[in-house]
Amino acid sequence: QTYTLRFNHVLGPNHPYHAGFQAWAERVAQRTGGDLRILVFHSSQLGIEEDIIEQLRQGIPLGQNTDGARLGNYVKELGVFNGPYFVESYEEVEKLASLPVVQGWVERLAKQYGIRVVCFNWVQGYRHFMTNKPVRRPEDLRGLRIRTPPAPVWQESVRALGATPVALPFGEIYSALQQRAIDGAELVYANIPDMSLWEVLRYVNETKHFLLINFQVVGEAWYQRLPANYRQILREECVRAGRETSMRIQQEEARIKQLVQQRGMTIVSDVDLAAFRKAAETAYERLGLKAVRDALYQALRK
Amino acid sequence: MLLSFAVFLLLLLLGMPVVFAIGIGGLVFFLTQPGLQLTMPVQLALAETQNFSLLAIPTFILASNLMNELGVTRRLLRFAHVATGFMRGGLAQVSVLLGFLMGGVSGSAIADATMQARLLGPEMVRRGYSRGFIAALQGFSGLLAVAIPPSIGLILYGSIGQVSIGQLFAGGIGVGVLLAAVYMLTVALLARSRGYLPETAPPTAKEVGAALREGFFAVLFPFLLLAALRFGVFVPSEVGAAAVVYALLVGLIYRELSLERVNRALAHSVRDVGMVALLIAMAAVLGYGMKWEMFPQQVSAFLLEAVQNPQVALLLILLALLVLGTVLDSTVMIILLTPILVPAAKALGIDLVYFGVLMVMTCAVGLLTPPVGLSMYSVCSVMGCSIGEYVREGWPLLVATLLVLLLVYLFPGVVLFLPRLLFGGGV
Amino acid sequence: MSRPANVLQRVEEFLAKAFLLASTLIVFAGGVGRFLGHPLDWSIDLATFTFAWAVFLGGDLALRENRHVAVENLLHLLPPGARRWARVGVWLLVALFLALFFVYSLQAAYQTRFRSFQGIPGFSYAWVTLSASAGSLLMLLTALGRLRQALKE
Ligand code: NA
Ligand code: NA
Repeated sequence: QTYTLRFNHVLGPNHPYHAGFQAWAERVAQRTGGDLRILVFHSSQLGIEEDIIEQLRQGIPLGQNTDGARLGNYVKELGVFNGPYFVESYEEVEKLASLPVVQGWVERLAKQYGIRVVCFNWVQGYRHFMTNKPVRRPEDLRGLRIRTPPAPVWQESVRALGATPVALPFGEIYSALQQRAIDGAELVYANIPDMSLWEVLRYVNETKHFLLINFQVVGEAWYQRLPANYRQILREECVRAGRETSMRIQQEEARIKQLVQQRGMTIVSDVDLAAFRKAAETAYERLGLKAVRDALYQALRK
Repeated sequence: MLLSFAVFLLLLLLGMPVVFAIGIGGLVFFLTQPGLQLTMPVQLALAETQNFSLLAIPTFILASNLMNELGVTRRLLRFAHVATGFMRGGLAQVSVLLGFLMGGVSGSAIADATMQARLLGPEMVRRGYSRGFIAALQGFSGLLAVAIPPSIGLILYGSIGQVSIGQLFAGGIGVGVLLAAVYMLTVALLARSRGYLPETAPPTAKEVGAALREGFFAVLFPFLLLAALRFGVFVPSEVGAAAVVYALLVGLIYRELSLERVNRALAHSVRDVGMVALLIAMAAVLGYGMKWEMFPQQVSAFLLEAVQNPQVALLLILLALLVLGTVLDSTVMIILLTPILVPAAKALGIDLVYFGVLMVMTCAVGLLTPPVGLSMYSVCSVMGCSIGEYVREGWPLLVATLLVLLLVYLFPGVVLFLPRLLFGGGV
Repeated sequence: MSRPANVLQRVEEFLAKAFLLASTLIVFAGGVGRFLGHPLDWSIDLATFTFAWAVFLGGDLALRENRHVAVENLLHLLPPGARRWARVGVWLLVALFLALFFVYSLQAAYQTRFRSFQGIPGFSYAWVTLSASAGSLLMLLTALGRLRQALKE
């Protein structure tokens, strides 16, 4: 018997994730003799993230690249993965994935809500504030209208760090910046060349406030229909491709940094990270995720 | 997926309202795929209404209807009439100029054409213009709303294809100017051969001044909205809402604002919105099968392999769009084909701003070509003429439009001049 | 037209207008708020929510007045008898489609009850989905009227 999964993500076809998902698909097909196929769809071709998650919960053979903020709608604790300054390195992300308490949340997501997390070690890198004036301390962000994804976890975090969050769709960022309808955005390095943001922004301030961690999810009903060895192959290759892609993004960042500077942007690297970390505490309190985070830190012996 | 399209075409020909023919065609795909559920068409249709960028459509429709009710359009018209009424076929020239001015405010060709036909039609009939010609003229003048920013077609292309809407808007201006110039030339030639006479003597500076004073806030309308866009108050998707508020204010200034008129504008608008937006929502259902089967990827792979020469490929794409446009709605085409064609154009090395403006304009021509064209239906029903009459009297305008598209195809600078000037070299 | 139907249409008309106007004014307020440095977190979601309702209610208002575009060229070439049966078939299919759409929109609303708006936590997305239910039910009633008319001809 053969199985086909259609896997959707919101990123463009040139994003390293897209190549990463295709590598995942290729290896899974190879190891299952072509019986388990994954077709990868970029640019949200199959629909909006929230709709896809609802659809895969109904057993439709779909997968989606998503984040803790969205999954936090179902299992609240998972929202902590989207908290500011939550983890500091890729190694910590992998360690988190193996913690029993985190595994417990993942199982609850599958049992209660029908969403199966295949792996969650995909990291897009640090998000930074990108503006038209240098930002070194939280005070420097005061009064700046910063485009932020329209989810409460993001909004509260950006507010706690001192900026005024503006909810706008991703596709509106360029024109809003160009028309000065917003003063900046908070994005990862790879977004800059994708949208030619050097035309409209001058500074990348390395605030490193989020390490953007992604979850690859499929429907639990579909997942349980797979033979046990296929499920294992699907998971193993997801983790492997995730590790490779995350490393690749780290390496590419150096090249993008150079390009961004050539195009006239200034990189501000002497940011007062301690002050930003302190400011971030407010977000955890407001979101009611402080206890969850501290428990995880304890488990990590941090 | 093919069955889906066959069912759509069959139902269309049987006289089913297009919106349901599209919806049922789309549903067929879900019925033939055992893995899918019938809740998905509902979700897909709804997802379209949850797209922030699409809010430009209802807001601009409401703005045009308010302008019509509150006397803003009438004042614009009076100014245009003073400025061009002395030419041969003066009211016909007025139509083009009004279309040009309205183009800077309205984003929808259908709304614009309908409004102009309602506004100018009766007077033109009285002066001896044929109904078919008036219908075609107002219909084609509506195309200026697509070229000149803000433009719903360009917003759709830009947001689906992830191309800068600001640059697309700048690119549309050149095409809009060229289109208006060619239309005025065409009208002048037709006026001579068909014997349309001037309505007024050439205006004195005083008369122009008086018309401008009387209609000051109306004439300012497009410029103020553009300023609101440039000075960072609004993003393009919000300008329509600003136009609504401005129309209300101008109505207040001119003492034409009344609850009854606003109510009437709203009544017209909800019906227009219900028609246009529901069509877009259902098109998402029909388009899903194409995506599920990865049809876009196949087409772009085909274009890349079969035609290596970007110029030839572009010409083939544009011709295909014209043919498809005879039966498909332009909005539907932009929504369905942008995700297919943008990757292909990118791979062929075609500038995406240039491609976008050409593609959107070419799709928009389909609004005016039989057998299926929303603008054509609308102006013909307002003017009470048959499609045959419209074609007989209006074909020179179609030829003029195709000529402009050919010029733009041959000289990309028409589109790219302004974006390069405003945004620098790295377009 | 019977009295209850008349009342229904007036309520529908009022709601459609109110939703359209609200959607527009919310978009405007969102832009102004952002310009003044006080962006409204909920403006996008509330504007698209009201837009969905305006679309589906407006869709029925347009249908009542035959404003949805159709291509009748071919139909006019048919003999009157065949034309009548084509009409009956068309409206039967439309009614069937709308009935299915209605039923599945209810199911979709139930399925999405956990999902909330991003910008308005606690406001269930099911309220958007219900706009499709209301719209398709109203259009179903209108389509059944058309079917009855076509059968009587
Ligand atoms: Na326009
Ligand atoms: Na057409």
